Amino acid sequence: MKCADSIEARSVEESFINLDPIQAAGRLTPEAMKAVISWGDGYSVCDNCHKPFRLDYVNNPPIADFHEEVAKWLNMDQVQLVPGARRAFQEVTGALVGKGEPVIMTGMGHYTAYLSVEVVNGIVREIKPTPDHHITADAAAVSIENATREFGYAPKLVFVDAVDFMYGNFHEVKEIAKVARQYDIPVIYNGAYTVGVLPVDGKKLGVDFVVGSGHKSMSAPAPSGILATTTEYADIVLRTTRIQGDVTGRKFGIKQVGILGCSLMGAPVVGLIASFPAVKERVNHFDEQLKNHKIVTDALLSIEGTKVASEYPRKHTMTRMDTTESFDRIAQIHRKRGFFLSSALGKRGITGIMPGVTKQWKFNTYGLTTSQAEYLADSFIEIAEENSMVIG
Amino acid sequence: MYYSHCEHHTVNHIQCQVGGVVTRLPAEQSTPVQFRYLAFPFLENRIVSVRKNADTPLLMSQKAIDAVFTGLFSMTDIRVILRKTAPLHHLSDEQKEQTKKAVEMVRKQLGIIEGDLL
Repeated sequence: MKCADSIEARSVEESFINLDPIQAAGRLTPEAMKAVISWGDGYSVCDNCHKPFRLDYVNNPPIADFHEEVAKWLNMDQVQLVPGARRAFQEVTGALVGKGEPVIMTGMGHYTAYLSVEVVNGIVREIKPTPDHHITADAAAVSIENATREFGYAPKLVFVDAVDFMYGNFHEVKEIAKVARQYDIPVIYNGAYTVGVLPVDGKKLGVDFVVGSGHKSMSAPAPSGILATTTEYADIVLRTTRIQGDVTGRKFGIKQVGILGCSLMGAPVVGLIASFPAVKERVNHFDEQLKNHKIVTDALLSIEGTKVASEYPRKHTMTRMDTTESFDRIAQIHRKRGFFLSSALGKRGITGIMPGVTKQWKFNTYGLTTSQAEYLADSFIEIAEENSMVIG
Repeated sequence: MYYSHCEHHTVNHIQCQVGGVVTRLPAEQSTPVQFRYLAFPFLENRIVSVRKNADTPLLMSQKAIDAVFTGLFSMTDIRVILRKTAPLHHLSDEQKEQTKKAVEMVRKQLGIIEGDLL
């Protein structure tokens, strides 16, 4: 079925259990789906934009209230909506990092964090991950100290991932922030895998910026995200325009410079707002998500040779599995080679695991019902049995 | 004095200066029309500006418009059930009841649309 001449209607979520690690917590709530139907037109949210003509002043739909509620929810002072977490990174580096200046990055950071430093011609100095894929405060202290010695002044910013995209592991955010504070370095918390699925308290963590992804973890359409900060840094990072045309004398009111004016309109912003009540509630029930996740990891671990490559027991629903000694052995002799696993899953209405990969692969069960988690667990066992693998 | 009123152009509150296309009108030249979207509370107060002096009728087929949205929202409720029960779509009794209600609601809206527009 097509929804336009050359575009197939997407029905992945209606037809399959989708385990794609980046898609799970971005699936829209029913409220967001309905809001998008009504507000999908380009500049729809500008119907009621009045003086001073800025997105965060719009009351209908309740964009102004939403900004305040999100700031309160994250225990930060101010919030700006952004088209994706990456734009929040860029806005912060744009305001705080100059050419040739160092920024501390975790060795497990998202590529967009690196690029946000590159775009301002900054320099990255990494924190080395531990052999078990964690970023520690001790390692952060070493990197900060080395960079300070190398450049003759402290780094301009520290990036830290609450949960990394590689393993879904938790890192020592609070402790790293404490170390950074000793050098008076602002800390940016990348909550792409936490804001919207877990409770996050920016002040408690001691960070200066909290970044969330609407399309990754807040059930909103892409591109959407949030940048929350303190009053201290709002004046710098969320600064308003002062530029004036030399011939016309034109000025641009109170538009914010870092994001080039109004940031998020139409479907992304109404989707974000419409999902917010459900998102606020769901962060209090992450334990239920973990229970469902455990049903699946237990089944996988019962297949001989299978390991969890991420930290274990799991504290997040996105997990990296190591099936080098189980599914990958079958792949060596199967006529479909490495594609046998994704093919067998596909036959059972399961998608989202990278086709052809049987050594290490990631999956995310966020949002699945218990029945779906049980079906998924049974499916992995069935596939193992079909291929004469040993179930423990 | 000009403000950067919308994202793509600088406008003088009346006309977009690129191509002279009217994009949005100031509040004093508009008549608010209430669109009530029954199935979704925060949409209930959406005000759409309509030109007072335009040839376009102020109130078109309001019933049909509401019915279209209500029908789409009910279809969305069914879509959500499909997602929750994928891939087997074995519905529980409660989900069957919810689906039945949504289908009835869609049928009702189709009747309104036929009556109002055809």
